[in-house]
Amino acid sequence: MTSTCDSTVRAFLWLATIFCVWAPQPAAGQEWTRFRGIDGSGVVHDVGLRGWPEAGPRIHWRQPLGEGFSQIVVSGEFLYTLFAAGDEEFAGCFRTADGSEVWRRSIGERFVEEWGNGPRATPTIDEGRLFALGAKGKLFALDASDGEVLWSLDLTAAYHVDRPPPIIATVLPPDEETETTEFYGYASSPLVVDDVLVVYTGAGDGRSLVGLDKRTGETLWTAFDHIVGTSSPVLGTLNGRQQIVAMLFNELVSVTPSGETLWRHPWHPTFTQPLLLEPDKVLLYTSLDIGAELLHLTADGETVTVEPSWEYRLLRNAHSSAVAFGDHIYGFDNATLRCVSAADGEMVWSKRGLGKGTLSIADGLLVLLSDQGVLALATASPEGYAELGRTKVFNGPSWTAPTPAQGKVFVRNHQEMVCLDFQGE
Amino acid sequence: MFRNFTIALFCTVLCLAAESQDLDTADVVARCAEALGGEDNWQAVTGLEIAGTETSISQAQPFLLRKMRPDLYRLDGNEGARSITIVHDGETAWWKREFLLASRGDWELLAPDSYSRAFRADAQFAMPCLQHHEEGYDVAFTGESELDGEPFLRLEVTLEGGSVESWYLDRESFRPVARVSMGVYWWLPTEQRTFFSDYREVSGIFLPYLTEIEFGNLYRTFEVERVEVNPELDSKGVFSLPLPRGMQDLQQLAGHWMVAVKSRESAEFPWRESEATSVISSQFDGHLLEENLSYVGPASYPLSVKRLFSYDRFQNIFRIAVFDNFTSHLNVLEGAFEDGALVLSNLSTGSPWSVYGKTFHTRERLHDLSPDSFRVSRETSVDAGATWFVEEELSYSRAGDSPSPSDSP
Repeated sequence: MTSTCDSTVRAFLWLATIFCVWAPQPAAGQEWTRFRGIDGSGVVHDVGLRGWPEAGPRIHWRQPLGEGFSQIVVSGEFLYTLFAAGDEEFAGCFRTADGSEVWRRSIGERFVEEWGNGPRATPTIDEGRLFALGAKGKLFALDASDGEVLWSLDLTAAYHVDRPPPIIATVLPPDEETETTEFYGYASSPLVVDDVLVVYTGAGDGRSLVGLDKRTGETLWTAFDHIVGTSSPVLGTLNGRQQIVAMLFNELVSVTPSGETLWRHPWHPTFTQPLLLEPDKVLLYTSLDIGAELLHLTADGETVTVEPSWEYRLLRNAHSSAVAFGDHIYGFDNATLRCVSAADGEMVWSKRGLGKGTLSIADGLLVLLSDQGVLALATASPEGYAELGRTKVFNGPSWTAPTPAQGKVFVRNHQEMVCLDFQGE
Repeated sequence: MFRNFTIALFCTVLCLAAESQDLDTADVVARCAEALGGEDNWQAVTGLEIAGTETSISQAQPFLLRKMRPDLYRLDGNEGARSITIVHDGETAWWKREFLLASRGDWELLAPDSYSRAFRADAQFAMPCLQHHEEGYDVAFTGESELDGEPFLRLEVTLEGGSVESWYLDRESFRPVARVSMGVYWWLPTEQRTFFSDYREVSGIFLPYLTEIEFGNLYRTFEVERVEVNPELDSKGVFSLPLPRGMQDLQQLAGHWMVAVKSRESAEFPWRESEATSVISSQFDGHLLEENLSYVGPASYPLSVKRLFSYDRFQNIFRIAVFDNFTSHLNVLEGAFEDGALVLSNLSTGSPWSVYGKTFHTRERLHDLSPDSFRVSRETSVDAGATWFVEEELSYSRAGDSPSPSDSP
């Protein structure tokens, strides 16, 4: 019996393996399905960026787009992002070929504040669904093909969110021209882990991080007490165990996909992403004059010990999170781009001249976008900063990291989105 | 070919290293001063007006920077979409920041001491290479030092108060390229890095046409488009802390006054005349006027009266708090200017006094205001303001040429 069962299982696994190998899979560089790419690392391979074209990248298309900070995600022939228009925020689907709009779906009222209006979070694509979170906390599961609402949930009502981060509410004066600023708006992007949609609600009272059934929106689990922050949960495998790691305003936490807490580590308030350095490290950073800290995780059975490995003050990421590539970390320290050794936190090189910016890494190249709308490519190498070229894309400010996919780079700001072709005709 | 280039490069680096080891503070400061146009040219500079584009929180807007000797500095710039004015008036610093919650940007405030010292440093000309002893800071050359992996000549500058800054000079040109100092950002001690580049000559002196500041998560750039050397500036109008809005018209009340007093107990009683003296002082940088007045009041009672004049910027009304030794009652009057007279009453302040079953409301009218005289009419109502009778008339005349007292606690 056992033998028969084992044989059946083995045969099934072989068939499944063969199917997986043969089934048409998008090349890694064809997709950018959520905030910071397929795996949330900000790194993508096989995009087809062939360096800097002699005549510079061609503007493949340029389309008007409403306000928002949401990154562009790409799947197949379509791209998706969030934006504001009129008094509403929208999730939108556009053709990668020409940027033309396929559909748009309202995801709530337009969020207004002096740092920039509109949605902040990046939508997540998963199995034909698009998960979109508006800046005022309306969460939607949409059919990615036509934008039909599969389910929706108002996080503020469902989880009784009534506490803005006090540090922000205290400092920012209300603006009579717009509306009272309560907080920076929901900026955390949803994460899909198998059948669970993980969302940072900031509700407090054990409801700050929630796991929902991605098919129905039903709450599966809730955890933690933290106020609203801007970081997005990420999935990784640390010490051999798959886990969800989230920076909840001022504490780094780890849970299983079923919501069980694995470990937690209090830290400074930060707006940036935890950077998982598998197999056993996490890098944290803040824009405060504290910089970055690498945490080393040691597992002994169910007990995980979190200890600082090194600190490096001059990696004070603000609105762009660092990216790890090879044995090095690349990120902005205010307006200075730095390469830092992941092993010991020593600075390898620094480069000024682009101003503040955002970055992704594609095909071993730093894809940089300055806050003044200059796009540059440089080699992601500890040998030094070697810029291949740069071009002015936007006149207005841009705080959204570039999306490299399908041989192109997609960028946006508050007025438009642009597709730059790095492969040529 | 490559070998020759390598040898030449090696020799250049060696020479630079050897040369910097031989330099002392005086050498470096002198060469820095020369590289910025020379001491003589800078001595001829008494003021600068610099205009251009500032980018702050990714938003570009115009800025205007004005400096005058000694220690006068004013920057009208931006914090994102909100305006900011930073001034050092030669003694202390004040600012007007829309970003500040407390002020909503409507008025000027004295800046904290730590900022005041920093702004005074910003007011210097050609810092840190000229007149450093006269300007109250010390400079010491500490040799070569790296900033972000690049070697520079480092000057250690100790400011008045003891805070230390690092200035980095280009090893070849001797011009300042970076300054690392400390400030306070979101209540935390925070490093500020300032970078200078694109030096250009204007009237014999060299100025950086691009200044970049990294401070906390703020990044500000100043791109210069126009420089005027020794502009005609109204130093008082540009750098002095303005009188607070609302209180400007009342500042002339400050001083020593002779007061002719006419008073009566009721409308049927005859006027009684007496003389008094009054001292009105301006306090809290003009935000408050305090009057101390002594005279013989109704029923021959020797009165001492204290009045506090203020302007409520949240409600846009004037307010006077009056206390006297007869009623021992703090009377609060509110009002506004009407036809050139400041008319205030306690009809809605909840502070009238009651006796014999009657409630006595008070109204004061300050009128005929001029630099050397003004008048106060004090009226009383026993029918909730339906009718008033004049109880006192006070005519103020400035006492000689005594200076206007001011007292800032």
